[in-house]
Amino acid sequence: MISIEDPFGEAMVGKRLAHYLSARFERHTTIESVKRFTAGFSWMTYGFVAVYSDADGLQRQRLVLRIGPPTGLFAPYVASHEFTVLQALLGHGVPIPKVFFYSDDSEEFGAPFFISQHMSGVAPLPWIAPGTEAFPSDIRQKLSHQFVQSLAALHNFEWQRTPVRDLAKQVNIDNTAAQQLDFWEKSLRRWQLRVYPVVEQALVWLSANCPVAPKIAIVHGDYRIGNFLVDGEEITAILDWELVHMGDPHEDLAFMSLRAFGGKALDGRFLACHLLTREELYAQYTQATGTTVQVGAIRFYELFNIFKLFVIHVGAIRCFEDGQFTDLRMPAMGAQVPRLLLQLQKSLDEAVA
Amino acid sequence: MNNSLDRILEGIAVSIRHDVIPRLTDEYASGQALAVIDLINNLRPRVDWAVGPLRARISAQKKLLATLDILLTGREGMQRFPENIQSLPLEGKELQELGNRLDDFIGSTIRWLGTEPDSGAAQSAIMDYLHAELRRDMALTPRPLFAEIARGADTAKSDPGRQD
Repeated sequence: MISIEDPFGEAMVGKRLAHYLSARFERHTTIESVKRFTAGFSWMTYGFVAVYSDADGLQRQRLVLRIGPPTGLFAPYVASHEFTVLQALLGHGVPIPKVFFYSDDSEEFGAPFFISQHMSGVAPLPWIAPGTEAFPSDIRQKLSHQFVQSLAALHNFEWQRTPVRDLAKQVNIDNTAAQQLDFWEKSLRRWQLRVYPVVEQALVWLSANCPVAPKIAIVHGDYRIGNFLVDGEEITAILDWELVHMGDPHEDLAFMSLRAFGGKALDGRFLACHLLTREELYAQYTQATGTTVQVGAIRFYELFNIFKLFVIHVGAIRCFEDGQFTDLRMPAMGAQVPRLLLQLQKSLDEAVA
Repeated sequence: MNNSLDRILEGIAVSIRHDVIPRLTDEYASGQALAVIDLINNLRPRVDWAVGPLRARISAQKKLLATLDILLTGREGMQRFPENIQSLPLEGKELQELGNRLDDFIGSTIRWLGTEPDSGAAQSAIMDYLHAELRRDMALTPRPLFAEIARGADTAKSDPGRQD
């Protein structure tokens, strides 16, 4: 019987890593402890240890490999955008892993990939038991300060004289909202198995109310609890840059303010990302960036971001329906679409009022 | 629900066989898991979506279309649903497909009304319909187990495995 090895299984990935890194390091390199992380539906992430000898003796380097599989939610993938942004941002106030290698072709790992530094810490989740808080008060204040300062550093980063400028060629303050809306509506049309009237209603409003951006900044695109690592009382890394693009900074601000990622403190206040109130967020952000938060833009991007989350859910539903994945988390996400549509409806009601 | 029933059942069986059973070390647990697959294989050709909620959805859609017909009759560009829906199918799958075609039509009407002046009454009728539909859907949607699913445990506060 002929057995076909899983091209993205840990064993095969380990072999390919040894071959690839031996060539890149120009010395024999072995790979240990390859572990595929289960999080995410899109890029596949592996932790591993690269072992090699140099003039200083035996070296053991903890690294991370990310592969954008041909069957992933946003396939076909490009690794260069994420790599370019992370490389440019290193040392500019945003905690991120150092990136080492990437490729947009499929020769080495069967799909686009990049290799980065392993970062310490755990990723707090947005979902916590009712009646509890995600963080003790003193730690929450430290984390929220760092999270806002990191966002401010990202949005104030002067990308114009870095390779990131290549990502901004078609984007300006007048067209960025419409471009993002167009991208996600096209994704919806590609994936949807049925029409949801409330979403059509939201799209009519969004199309007619695109704001002008105060400036074009690097937008993370998924800036929220669950996508940063905490070690002790410190955020060690902002993760998951696959939706990074050039755009309106309000998009990230509104995204991290979504009800889906926050919760009530014990005193009843809503905390964005379980960290701080929206008022505190906007005040601290304005102070750190010098950019005044526009209520109208926040309203647009709140509705837009719920729509974007909905489209991602529709993508998961479609990938599962087509048999590309058997991950049961996908139809489980699909079963919760009414909850997301309810948020969309509430946000639309507030926008229209 | 948004995936087809047969695909959900097939996916459950495949996931149990390939992702769950290989990780089980207890023989009784493995036997239980295999029994679930066996039951699913028996259920697949026999089960369908409950028709009650599907009929309620179509009834609300028909009511909305009747209202819009009164409010918009005579307007240039107004379309009517092209099917006779006086008598409804009996099977859940067909009811769902008809409901989806009706939602498709309502979606087209919403897009058309977005460009129409003086359509406030029709917009209000649609908003009322959308609110009622969401209430109906939410009544059928239990609290998600996202935290438990993400962590693979009953209590979840953080994911130690993230590096992406």
